[in-house]
Amino acid sequence: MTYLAAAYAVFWFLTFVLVFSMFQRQQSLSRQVEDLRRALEEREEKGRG
Amino acid sequence: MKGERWLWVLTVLSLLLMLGAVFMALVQAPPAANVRTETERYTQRIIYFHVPSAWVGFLAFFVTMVASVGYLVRRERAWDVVALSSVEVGVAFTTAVLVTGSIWAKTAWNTWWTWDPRLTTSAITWVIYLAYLMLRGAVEDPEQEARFASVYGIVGFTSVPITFMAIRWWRTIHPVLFDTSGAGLSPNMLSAFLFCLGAFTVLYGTLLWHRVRLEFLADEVRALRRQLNL
Repeated sequence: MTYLAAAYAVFWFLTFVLVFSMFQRQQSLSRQVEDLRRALEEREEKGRG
Repeated sequence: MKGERWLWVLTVLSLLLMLGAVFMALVQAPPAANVRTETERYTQRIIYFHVPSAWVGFLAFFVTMVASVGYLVRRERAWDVVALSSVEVGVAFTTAVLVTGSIWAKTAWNTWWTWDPRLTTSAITWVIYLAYLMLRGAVEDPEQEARFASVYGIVGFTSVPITFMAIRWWRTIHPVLFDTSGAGLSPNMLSAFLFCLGAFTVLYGTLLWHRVRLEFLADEVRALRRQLNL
């Protein structure tokens, strides 16, 4: 029973690590896109002004 | 936006199917008839996650091979994105194959690891694709990186059929689940097994879609940085 539980726990742990790492990267990239877009808009506004 | 909604539908479906797979594997499937000990009665249920993980690994590397050919023919970034994303998912599932297989081996063969042809070829495949991920970062020019990775993705795929056929070509102690005489599973075991196979395939598709989306987001960051001269 212990071995069975260990095998399934390992599988779910690896799946969780993969999903969590993708989620983390997505959060970070979305934030970067937002910041960069804002910086681009500010630069364009300055250029116009 | 429409695609986004489908992705989240697929994500929820994957979660439900995976919960169903756990139920099928641990509750619905009957114990195998040929088990010798009480421990084996439990650990034989590892196959319901071990074999589908191996299937997803093979499928992921096959998708990489196809996408790599696609990139070399079309030279479009999307093909390279799919190839890279599929390797990442495939490596995660192959890691699960090696670890769950090792746990099963401890109860069946009384050892965590043996240099059996199937185990050895599986480990080699895992290393090949792990190296794919590491080597991509070593090339600076993005186009050169994609071209190099595509060739690697095609050549590296030769390890997959060799791994699959290892238990048929060479003397091995690894069980053969499917051969020319059919499946080595009772009808109830087979239905649980096929359910798990289906659930894992849907999970692979979902993870691949999320990973591809992530790579395009990274491309957007790079493009914005270029625009800002950062």
